[in-house]
Amino acid sequence: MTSRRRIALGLGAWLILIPLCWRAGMRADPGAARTRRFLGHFFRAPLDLPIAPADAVALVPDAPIMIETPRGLLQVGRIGSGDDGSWRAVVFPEFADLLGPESALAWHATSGNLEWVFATLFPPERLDRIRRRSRAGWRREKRRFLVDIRPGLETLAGDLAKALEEALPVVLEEHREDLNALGRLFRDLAWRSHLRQVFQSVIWPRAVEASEPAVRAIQDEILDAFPVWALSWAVVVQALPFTDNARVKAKIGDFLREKALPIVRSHLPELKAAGAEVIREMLHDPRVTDAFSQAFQAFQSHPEVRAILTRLLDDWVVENGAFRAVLRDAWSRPALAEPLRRFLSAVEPDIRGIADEILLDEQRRGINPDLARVLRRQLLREDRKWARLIPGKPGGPPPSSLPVRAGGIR
Amino acid sequence: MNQGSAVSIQGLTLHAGTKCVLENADLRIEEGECVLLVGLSGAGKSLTMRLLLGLLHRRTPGFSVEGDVRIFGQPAEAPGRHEAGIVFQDFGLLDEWDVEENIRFGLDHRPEAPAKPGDLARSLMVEFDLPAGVRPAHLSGGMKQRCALARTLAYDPRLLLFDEPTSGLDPAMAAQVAGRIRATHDAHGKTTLVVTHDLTALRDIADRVILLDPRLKGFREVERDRVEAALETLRGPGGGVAAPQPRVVQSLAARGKRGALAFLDRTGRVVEGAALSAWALVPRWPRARWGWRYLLYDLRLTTLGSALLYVAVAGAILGLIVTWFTFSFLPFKPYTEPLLLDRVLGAIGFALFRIMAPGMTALLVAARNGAALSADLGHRAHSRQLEAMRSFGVAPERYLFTNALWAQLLGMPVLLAVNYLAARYASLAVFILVHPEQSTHFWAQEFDRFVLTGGALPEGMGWLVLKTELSALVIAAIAWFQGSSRKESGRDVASAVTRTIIWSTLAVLLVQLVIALAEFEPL
Repeated sequence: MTSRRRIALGLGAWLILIPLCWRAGMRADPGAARTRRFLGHFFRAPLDLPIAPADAVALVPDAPIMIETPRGLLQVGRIGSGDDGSWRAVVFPEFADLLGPESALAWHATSGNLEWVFATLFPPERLDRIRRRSRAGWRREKRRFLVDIRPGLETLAGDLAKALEEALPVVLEEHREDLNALGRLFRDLAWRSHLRQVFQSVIWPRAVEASEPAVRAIQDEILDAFPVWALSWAVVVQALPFTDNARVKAKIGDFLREKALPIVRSHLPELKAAGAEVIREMLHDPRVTDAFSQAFQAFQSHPEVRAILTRLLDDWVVENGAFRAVLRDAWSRPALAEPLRRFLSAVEPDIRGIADEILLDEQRRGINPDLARVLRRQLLREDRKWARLIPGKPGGPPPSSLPVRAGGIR
Repeated sequence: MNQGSAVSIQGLTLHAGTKCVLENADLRIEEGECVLLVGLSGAGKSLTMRLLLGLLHRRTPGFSVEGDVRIFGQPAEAPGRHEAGIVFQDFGLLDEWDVEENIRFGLDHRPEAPAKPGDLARSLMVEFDLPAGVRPAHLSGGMKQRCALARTLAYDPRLLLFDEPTSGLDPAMAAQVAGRIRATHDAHGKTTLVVTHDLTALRDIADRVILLDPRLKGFREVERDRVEAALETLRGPGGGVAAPQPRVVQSLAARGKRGALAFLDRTGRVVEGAALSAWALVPRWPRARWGWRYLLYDLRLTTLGSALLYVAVAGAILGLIVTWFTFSFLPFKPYTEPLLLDRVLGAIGFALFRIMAPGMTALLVAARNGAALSADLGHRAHSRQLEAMRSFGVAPERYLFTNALWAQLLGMPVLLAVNYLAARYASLAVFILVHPEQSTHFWAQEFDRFVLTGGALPEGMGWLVLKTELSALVIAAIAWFQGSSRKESGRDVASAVTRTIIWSTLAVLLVQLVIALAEFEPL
């Protein structure tokens, strides 16, 4: 190939390559915006503004200046400090348009405590959505779940009760000494100190008073039915020599069995009503309730009582092998596991929705910006102190300096 | 001993390996004589010439030299002498300089510098009809020889040696060359020794003809008209060069021992090379003018021009790949990126600055500059430029090795800086692409987070300089020792280049690894 032809070939190659490269560049960067940003990095310096912090604001050098966007916090500058102790706001040139009349900085400190975490993760509107979702799922599935699981729970309760019941005699036998001690302690701590006095002064008089009509009626009826002549005769006969010495005792026994007891039985409803009335009254009587409360408090707070009860419960429930086995195997019972599985399966979309509400952003494409803030604060210990840029009115000239006010926890 | 003789060899015994070339040989050439030294191929003519130039001596590895060799009464191997100059068969011209500079090289390295070396160089160019401003590569064969002769004369030696000056020339050209040799001999009043086997062209210019007789293992004078007969006799049965020795079959143990010794020898050479490299760092330029010129030459070879473009393009690709793939394949990107964007940028910036750019630059330079230096030196060795330098009393390492080391020391940080800056701003371009909402100044702030930590210098600058400069020195040293070793063919040069690339890339990887282990605490 001649030199002239090769030159023509080279020229042709460039004439093809240059438009191709140009077109590829235009496609990759329409409007050359990215190229301008790239070049701008070298030619556009950040805006450096003096700032005037309020007295309560303790600035930190290099703290980020941020704005809040739907995708979370976005850094638009940083706090700078001069050698003379002055403070500056260094605003990246891409965000210079945010500056205008009335622009300001709000200084925030993020404590990272549980309150802040909760407030950040669950702002009112999100918390409301979560509540609505959880209630909707429960309401929808509650009836079927309870109906499904009831037989299983009943069987479980029965089995647990049986296990406890079977163990009780053994435990009581083994803890006879403890029970005796418990009785003694009750007498000393509760009865003698608190209950006896209120019983004698309040409960018993009232009980006597309330049962008085029924007692009087019983008394009258018994007296009416009392076999005076028969008993007198029996006394006389018994006084004679060579007669039966147990005649009076037998007559009294017959009377009690055949006359007195039926009379008492016939008045039992009245006695019960009177007793119930007394109990009702006593439950509302502060003297009685206080005495019982103090007695119970004194009894149950005594270390020895606690130790005894703990031993009893340990041996009866905690160390009860049968009880534990029933509990352990409970969720493998189809009668419990299956309803629960069905319930969870039914409410899974709700649970997932709640989880998404916490984890994902609004487009459901990435992490929730609030969760990201919490994780950055808690895990990476970033953004603990930061300034929020409050944009000024658009169109005006940038301010000559930026006031900084305390923004609180955010 | 004859103090008045130009050349005096007495009782010389020379062994090349196990082969005895000369045994108790004597030779004397008087001042002002023009002598022809003839002999069959392999008889030892070139070795004799190297002896006279002081390039072959008692300490030359692989040779055994006994006896007395003197040039104008001084031992041939005495340092700093300039009694003998040579015109090599393939001239040994310095390719990087033009004709005038080649002549200036000879002039500048005379023990006593001439008053006006420029004028002298130009007068020699006129005398030998040499063009100005032309490099040796663009000269014809005849011009190259005239240039080499002019350069040798510029050095002003009292004894002129010619190594096969008519080899490969047609009879007319050979006669012309022979005439020039005699004319130069007469005009400049030198003693001349021409080593040749071309009697036809050169017989008539010689005052005497000396035959190197392999049967005698010595020199004998023959009459000019009986030289061909003598050579014919030598070519006959039993008269030639000693037949090759039968191959000795060695036992496995003997071969193992030889291999072990060779391995230890190589290890010793590496240690010796390291020590020589450290010593070579001290500039001991014979002439400052040529020292600076060679330094600039090596800087151009290793750093300026294509090397800058090479590392810049590689750096841009590195920054692009690292940033693009980091952001593209960040695990659980939609969840982790909003959390870790600043940390990821910091990690990319740190890795590029402390690990990737230095590692890549070292590898690229090991390959490119290792090959460039080794090829340059290999070519010099093959074309006898190194021997030519030695014939001017210049130890080549003082210009070529020292300056290769310094060119690397000065150039490598520049190349690293270019590589890193290209990687850095390619990373910025990718960041703009994947995070259009973020500021480029945010990128800069986070990219430098773990590098610019508030000190006067970037974090880890000491380690960076250490591994960069150590890599630079290792590359230059390997290129020197591979490139400057004896080369008999282009294949030897290619092998040296290949070995340089392999060893220098492995060596810089090792340097980077060892320093990285020292630099960063183990995970």
